[in-house]
Amino acid sequence: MDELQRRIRGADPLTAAEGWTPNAARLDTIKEQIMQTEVRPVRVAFRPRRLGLATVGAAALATVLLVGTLARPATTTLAWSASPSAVTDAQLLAAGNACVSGATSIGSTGSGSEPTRVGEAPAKALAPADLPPVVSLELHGTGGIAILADENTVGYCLVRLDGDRFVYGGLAVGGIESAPGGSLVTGAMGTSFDGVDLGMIWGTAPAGVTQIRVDGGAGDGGIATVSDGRFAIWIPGPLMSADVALVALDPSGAEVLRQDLMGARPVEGEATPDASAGPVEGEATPDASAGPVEGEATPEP
Amino acid sequence: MAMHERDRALRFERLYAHACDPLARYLARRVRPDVVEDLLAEVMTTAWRRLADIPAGDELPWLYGTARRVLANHRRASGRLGRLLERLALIERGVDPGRPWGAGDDPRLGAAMAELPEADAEVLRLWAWEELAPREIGVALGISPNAASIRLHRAKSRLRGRLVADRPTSTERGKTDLAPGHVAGVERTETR
Repeated sequence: MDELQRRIRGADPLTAAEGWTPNAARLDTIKEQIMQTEVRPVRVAFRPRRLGLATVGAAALATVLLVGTLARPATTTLAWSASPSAVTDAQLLAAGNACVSGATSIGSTGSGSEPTRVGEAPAKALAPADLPPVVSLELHGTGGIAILADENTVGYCLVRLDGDRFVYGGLAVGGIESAPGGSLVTGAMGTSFDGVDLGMIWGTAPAGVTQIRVDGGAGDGGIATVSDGRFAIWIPGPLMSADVALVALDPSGAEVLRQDLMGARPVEGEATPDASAGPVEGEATPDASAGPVEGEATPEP
Repeated sequence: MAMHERDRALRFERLYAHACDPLARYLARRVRPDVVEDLLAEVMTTAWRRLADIPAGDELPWLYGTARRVLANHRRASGRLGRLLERLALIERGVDPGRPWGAGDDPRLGAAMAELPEADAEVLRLWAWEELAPREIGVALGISPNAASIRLHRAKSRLRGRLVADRPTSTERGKTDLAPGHVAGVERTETR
């Protein structure tokens, strides 16, 4: 055995302290309960529609779009509200689990075999089990977008509230983006869920911004909460990005900056997003020659 | 192709019997004992729903990968109280919550591990605690076998580098058992 392996194994907490003690009867009960769980058919049915100018790619989030959706008939319909609803921890957990369970495959635009690195799109298909953990849920009406993120990857997962659980609707995944020069970095996608056209808008905001307001379009007045620098909101109707601007607000509600959604161009003298960071269309092809990847989120200090 | 219901049930029964113990150990290493059962049920429920997606021969690494996500969601959702309980559970087990790697009689290892990026630490945990081969680590992390090998190699190198950087003085040297030759690209110092 490798000496280092032996040494790490020596620090195994299970060898030093009492851990979980298996209970055969309890395990059997759990198994029976699991096997009585309904297994719903899963099919690939959700595809982001190319909407030309209406589909806006992120500046740095070269987005990989996936997706699968449950074939289960809707028991509730998507209803939108401009203001976000309060989200409980249980809802956050349920939404995250819906995303992990619902995503059947996550396509990739790349042909490489390496994982994601900061600022790059995944160059390989991600396994659903490798999705980042859920970090926040932005719920507007019965629809919401769960943000999944770790140091390498960020995903925006569309869900619909159905009683006390969530139904998975689709997912956009890409590399971590950053907001250059104090601007917003935004991405958007037109799609449909349960036969309802909608738009997903997401991005990162600079420090000091606590809310993003949607100006124009069917989602006019919609407010997205900025959490850990990220925001996401769905808006009803076909996404016409040319009609939509995003307004960054500070804690007092004052406007910090305004930015067109289309092309993520700042319109009030703010810093220009990194034009080299990525093409539009939401299905950018990552540069396979970008160098070694290795999934290194944190550079060696 | 849809799996026949009976075949499906049989496969799950076998999977459950084979994977419950190592999966529970995986979870018990990372969370307090009273939540292991719930998380185990969550992982196995996902396995039941996605049985057809589980790669034959790599069931356990796949389950570890799922457990990793379930665990991350649990940590995120458990809130402050949950995190406090986790810390208390660590203290009860004699572990410094700030340095959970300090378990056992190897505080230098604990300190060195705590300095590693989490991704490196997890690769090392999967390698040493779950005894996964690089290919299996790749399955658990959703990366290629080659990428897993590279990541493991680098994580080991970084850990060795930190252990050497934290190397005891000559009077203490007998307590460390890593050969200097293991270190690549790291300036070896005899004292801090």
